Amino acid sequence: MSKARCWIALLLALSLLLGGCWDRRELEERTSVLGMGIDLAKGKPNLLKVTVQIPIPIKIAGSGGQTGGKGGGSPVRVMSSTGHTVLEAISNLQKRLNQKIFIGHARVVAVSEEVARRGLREITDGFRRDPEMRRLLWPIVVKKDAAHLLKVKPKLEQIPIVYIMDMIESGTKTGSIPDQTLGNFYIQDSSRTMQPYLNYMVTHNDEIIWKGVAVFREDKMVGVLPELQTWVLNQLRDNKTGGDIVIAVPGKKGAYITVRPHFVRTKLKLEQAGNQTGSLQARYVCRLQCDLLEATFPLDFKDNGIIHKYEQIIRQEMEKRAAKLINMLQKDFKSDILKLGLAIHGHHYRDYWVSHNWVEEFPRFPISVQYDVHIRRIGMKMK
Amino acid sequence: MSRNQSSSTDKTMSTWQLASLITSTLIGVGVLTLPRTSTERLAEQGWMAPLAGGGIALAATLLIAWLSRRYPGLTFIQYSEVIWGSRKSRWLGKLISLPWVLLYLAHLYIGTAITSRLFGEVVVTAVLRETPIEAIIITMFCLALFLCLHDVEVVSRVNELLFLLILFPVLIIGLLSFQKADWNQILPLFSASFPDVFKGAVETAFTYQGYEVMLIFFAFAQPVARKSQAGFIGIAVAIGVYTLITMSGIAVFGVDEMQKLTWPTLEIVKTTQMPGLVLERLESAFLGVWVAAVFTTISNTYYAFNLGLRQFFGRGMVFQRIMSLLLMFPLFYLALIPQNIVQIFRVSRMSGYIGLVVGLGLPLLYLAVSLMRRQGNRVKEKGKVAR
Amino acid sequence: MSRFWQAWKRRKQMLRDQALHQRSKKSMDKIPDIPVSPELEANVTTIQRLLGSSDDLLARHFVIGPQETGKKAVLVYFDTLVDKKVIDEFILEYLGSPLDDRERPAIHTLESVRGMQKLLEYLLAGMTILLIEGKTEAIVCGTFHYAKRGIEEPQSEALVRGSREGFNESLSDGVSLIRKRLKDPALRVRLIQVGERTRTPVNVLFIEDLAPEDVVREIVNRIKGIQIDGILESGYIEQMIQDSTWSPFPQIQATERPDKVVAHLLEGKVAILTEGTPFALIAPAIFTQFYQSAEDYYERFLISSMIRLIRMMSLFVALLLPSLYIAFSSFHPEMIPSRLVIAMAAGRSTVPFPSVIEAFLMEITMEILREASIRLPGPIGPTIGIVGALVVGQAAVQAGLVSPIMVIIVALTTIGSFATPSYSAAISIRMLRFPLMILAGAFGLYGIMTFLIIIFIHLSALKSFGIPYMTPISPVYLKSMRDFIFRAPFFWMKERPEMFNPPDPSRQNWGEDK
Repeated sequence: MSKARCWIALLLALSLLLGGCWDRRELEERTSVLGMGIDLAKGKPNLLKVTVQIPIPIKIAGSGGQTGGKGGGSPVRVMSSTGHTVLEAISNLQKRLNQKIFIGHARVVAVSEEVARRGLREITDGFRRDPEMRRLLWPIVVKKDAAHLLKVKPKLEQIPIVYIMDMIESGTKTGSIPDQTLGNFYIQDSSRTMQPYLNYMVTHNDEIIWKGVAVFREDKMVGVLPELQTWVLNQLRDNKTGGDIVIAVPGKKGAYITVRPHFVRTKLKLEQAGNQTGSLQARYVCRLQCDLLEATFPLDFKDNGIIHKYEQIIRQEMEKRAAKLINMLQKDFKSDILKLGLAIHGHHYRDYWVSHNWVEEFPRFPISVQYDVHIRRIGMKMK
Repeated sequence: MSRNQSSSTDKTMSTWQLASLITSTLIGVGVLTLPRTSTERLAEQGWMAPLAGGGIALAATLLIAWLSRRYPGLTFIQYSEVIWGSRKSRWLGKLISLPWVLLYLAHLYIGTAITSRLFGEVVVTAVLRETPIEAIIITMFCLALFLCLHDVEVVSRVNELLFLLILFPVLIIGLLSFQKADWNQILPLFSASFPDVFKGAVETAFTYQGYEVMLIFFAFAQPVARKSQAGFIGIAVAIGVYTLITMSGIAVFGVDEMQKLTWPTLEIVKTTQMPGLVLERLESAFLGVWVAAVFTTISNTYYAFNLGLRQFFGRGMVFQRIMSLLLMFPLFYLALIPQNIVQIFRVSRMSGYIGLVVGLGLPLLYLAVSLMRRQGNRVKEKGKVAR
Repeated sequence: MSRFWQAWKRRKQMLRDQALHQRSKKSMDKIPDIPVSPELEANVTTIQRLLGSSDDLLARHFVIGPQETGKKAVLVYFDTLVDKKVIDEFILEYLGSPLDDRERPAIHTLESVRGMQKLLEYLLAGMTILLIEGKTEAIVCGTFHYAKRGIEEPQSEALVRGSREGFNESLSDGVSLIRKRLKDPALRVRLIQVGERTRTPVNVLFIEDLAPEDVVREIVNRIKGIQIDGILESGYIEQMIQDSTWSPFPQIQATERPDKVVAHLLEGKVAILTEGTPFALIAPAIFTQFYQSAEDYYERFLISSMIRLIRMMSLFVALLLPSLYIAFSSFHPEMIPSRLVIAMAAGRSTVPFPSVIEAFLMEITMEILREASIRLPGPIGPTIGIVGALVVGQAAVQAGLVSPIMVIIVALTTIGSFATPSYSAAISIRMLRFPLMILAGAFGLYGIMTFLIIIFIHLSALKSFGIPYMTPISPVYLKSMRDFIFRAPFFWMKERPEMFNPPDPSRQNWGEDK
């Protein structure tokens, strides 16, 4: 019965290993950090201040604990600590906590604008090496104080970070907020063919407001793209719809028309510019299908040309917005967040990419945007 | 007639079993780094490296199958002495074949150590961060040892059983990751030169390591099993998986990001969301399931090593059982020799090159000698002579 | 075949060695085979001497034919084993009265024996021995009468649709239930007596042109090789003839249902029926058949395919759920959605144990409850279930001993293990859950997978009478996969499962009708 002996030996060997349980760490033995804020420490420019938001499980209603929801007080604890690097600050924080910090559940990393302008590579290096860190969390640039974003009490959700998370998630679903996860930031940061950007938020008392995106060159923030231009960016770059388009109808006072894009398809055409070989120009053709949501003036659809007329008005407005976007990117930020470089790298590798330095070339690269707007539906009201 | 007769009626492998044996030996820990290694030289064209590398592996496997067809029912160890020796003095054949056989066995042994160390490394870095790597390596060895206690037919059935378990996670991850893909990332399609593609293919050799175990296992094929077909299917599935993973890696991350990732495949899993699944980050689950893939690699190699060793000494199953237990201890220390992860990557690349020599060079050499000496199927009757 | 034959030879050698020690104890061998003597009284004293002085052994003296001229005779029987009515009414009345034109009594098994050994064997089986003065052979009359249960609905394998008949403890009833369903001239019944002291009759049933000859021979040989004092249940036989004793998986299927036995006979398998138990054995058995129910074939194929899928899922739930809970909650909390993880942490905040211990505690409690409810008499059983599940679970959560999610998980695993049609397979899964939980507590998902691989290796190595245990999956038999998780409609299953290698593979459309 050598087989039996082998079985027993194997089980013994396995059970000897059980003495370890090295990695076993129960849920309640981890301090789950849901959100993290990174600021410059006040008065000490070479120190970073890291703020974390930690949920207090038993204070959260409906969580099954017997004391759920009772006892009052905030369901989260916000703590800060400083250090020369992010990880040093976190390990300083650890000294004040009873359980080990677990950042595997961090969903939002807020970075203040100051830090972002100094460059994010030194901050993200530790995050990249840590296997616990998610790639699918939301990094956010906050206008002033990143710590304040964690202290805001939105009240609609018990845990503020969950509120922010939901806000961004529902925004990306409708296409108004760009889907910029940490992983995407890494990719854009590493790539030679594009530049990164992050969502930009402003806190105001107990409010959190999304205010477009922060544009980076390399890993350094160079400026903010406002909401309207961000929506154009979404349309051109990712075929996302962006938010509702509200337009003051020219020639009529107080006359506004609102349409909601529900389908976007952008084609990027890379063509030879002029006659000389080896020079290129980019032409974006964006087809936009919209629903009419609102008009503050009477519209009579018996008139055959009326839909076409407003389509033209919207087209002109969108092209104006797009021109402003391109202008800002090329002139103000000199940063290709459009992924234009990637397309050129892919399609004109030998005849253009090899011979040009794209980072220098982008600001003077000819880009034009053309819109093609269709209003498909007008809602429940006919006249 | 005793041994060979019994091996052709009882301990046999069907075509499908041979194919799944090849695939599951090939697919292992190499997949976790493949997207990085294949884009290192070829950049956007990195997906060609596994294709071309697979071509090399396929050629080698077909050569091995051809060799095995010439000496049916005999393993590499057994026909070595037939090829090199004469009818009168078998010890001469044994002597001449000694360096080749030893090279082969040493390659298998070291390959087992490297694979288990690499996997231990990734588990300890990514999932079980406090667990000593020794514990991971020992558990993997225990699994391999447990398999070595059984007969050859069990090896083929285990591989058959685990085949789908290995294939499913990679395929699902590969396909799901296409949601996040940007196809401009894999353009331009042809930027690298042909010599570069060849060099890139050679660099993927470690990932394709493993087909050389067929020098042993083809001997246990059923008489009706088609070895070349099995080799073709087995390698083709591996090529498909590798190309898919490399392609999705490039399409999702782009070449520049990929070079920054130690375990790119794990990062692909990390960025992939399974629609409708409650669970969120699948990399632990992926690594968990991947134990099966690595297990098949380690244990098939180790089994081939022990089987070869036992045949080399002309012993039976008891010898294999005892030796597989005893040789685990040096193997364990061997696995712990490299000092850091960079060194391990270097060693694994070296082992890939040696694998090319063993997997492609040895069959070529043997075939040449065998053809020159006009040996062949007529050895069939003499098969019993070479135990 | 040669491999299991070798293994079996080793085993048999071992059994034979054991038997050598027991040889002196073998009861029947002790009895000298004395021929029946013409002296009536000598015979009676011999019998009484050999059987000791059992008070239920009766010898009734009477005279055959007219009182004066007739021959002296004696009836020997065990009072407790025979049908007294038959003896009184027929034998004594018929033989004791003067010869006339009365009909012969209807007594089955009229046989004559000469040796005392054989005679005692019949006597012990409930026959009545008729000894006649001056004759050297004894007449055996089949007067046995045992108390037995009627045909009832099988307790352990209830079906919604399907026959309500189950085996009872009588061997002959069992064979009759099968013969009733299977009027195949090729059905063979082999009788083997097993057990040195109990001398239990065992019938091996198979269909001659379906069951492979070597498998039948192997099974018969193994049963004949059993050397044990008593067989009280077919489980004895199962354990003495199975291939691997150390496996947690059953390699022979036990069933109470005659229709199931017939279905398996038709697939070319062998059935073993044992006197004294309602459980018949079916061999060879493979892994999947323990997760299939007879009803799968009685219901329409879509429904049964879905039910089989659910059963497979419940198998995984019963096997893996507690260990997955341990792995997720104490090793990989990043895999649980953030909201849920907070809720779980809150639920666990008062629990004093690590989740491994928590899971162990609850699973063992559940096993105790289950065992308790089986032992309790019928009406109280369910009550214990309710008390255990509801009261203990609720109280444990309220006391903060276990987390609410743990209660859900324990409930799910228990329900999952009940969905397995075969009780013995369900037990093996219940058993394997515990090492899985230990390993999950040591290495998380890595540990779970490690143990699963060990199970996979073991399953691959396991064989049942030469058939690999995991058969339709490894080695792959594509045609048999039609009756695996997916139960194909009958027009797709025109052939018998090829892995059992039946000499006649076709099960539909035979003859030249198409």
